[in-house]
Amino acid sequence: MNVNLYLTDSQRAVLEKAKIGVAGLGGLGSNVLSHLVRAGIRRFVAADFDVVSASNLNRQFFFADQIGMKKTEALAANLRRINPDLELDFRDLRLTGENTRDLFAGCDAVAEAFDKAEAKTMLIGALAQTDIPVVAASGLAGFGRSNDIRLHKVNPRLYIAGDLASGISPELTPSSPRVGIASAMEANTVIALLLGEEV
Amino acid sequence: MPQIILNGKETEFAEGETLRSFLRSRKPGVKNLIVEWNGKILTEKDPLETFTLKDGDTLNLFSMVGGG
Repeated sequence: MNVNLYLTDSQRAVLEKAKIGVAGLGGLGSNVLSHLVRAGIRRFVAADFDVVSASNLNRQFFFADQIGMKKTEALAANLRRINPDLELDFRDLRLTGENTRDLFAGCDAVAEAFDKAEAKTMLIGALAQTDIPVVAASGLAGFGRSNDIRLHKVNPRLYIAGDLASGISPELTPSSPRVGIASAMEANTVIALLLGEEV
Repeated sequence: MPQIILNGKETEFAEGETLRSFLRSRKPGVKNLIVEWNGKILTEKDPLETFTLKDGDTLNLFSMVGGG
């Protein structure tokens, strides 16, 4: 199904054949995928080992009646309500330095969407020696300071969205707006890279 | 003193200094850094002690913090 009626034929051709990896299906990953599916991308590889919990509903693309479900299953169902015609290779597993490169081999870009800083660094390190562009996020906790969230171009194959400083703490909690800004920036960057637009 | 461009600013370093020792002295205790050294992406897991800084190198550091 064609969910984006605003694309040109050449844009649609590019997005329909693209395969995008998403590492983590929480606040960043679930919202990145929502944007990418609405943009017209149909093929995804993603991994997350978690289940939907009540604390996720303040920012993640899940619903109250999905609490307790595997995130891989719940998100696949939600994305297919946007576009029933998706190829989703969603794995219920923990990504490590050993399995990350194999899982995302053949992807046109990978969105880093983890919660933990160690996992973010692991993913970037694991894909650094490949040709696969990585779009990551760092520094998005709290409210306000919208303009501090920027897209940092590290090199032509690595981009980081965020303020690079606002980590999660008891004083600085994750919120839908700031996680949403960062995930929209990640998705926007993935689409720009695919279409050859300025990031 | 030789200099590198650290996050856009000219910064002196000691002759023969490695990336590992430079980061230890300039960013003590900072974890989860993404290191861009002359266009190459590195993390703390890479053998940073084997990379010797040279005059004119560019080094950009990006801090990965939790939340998603």
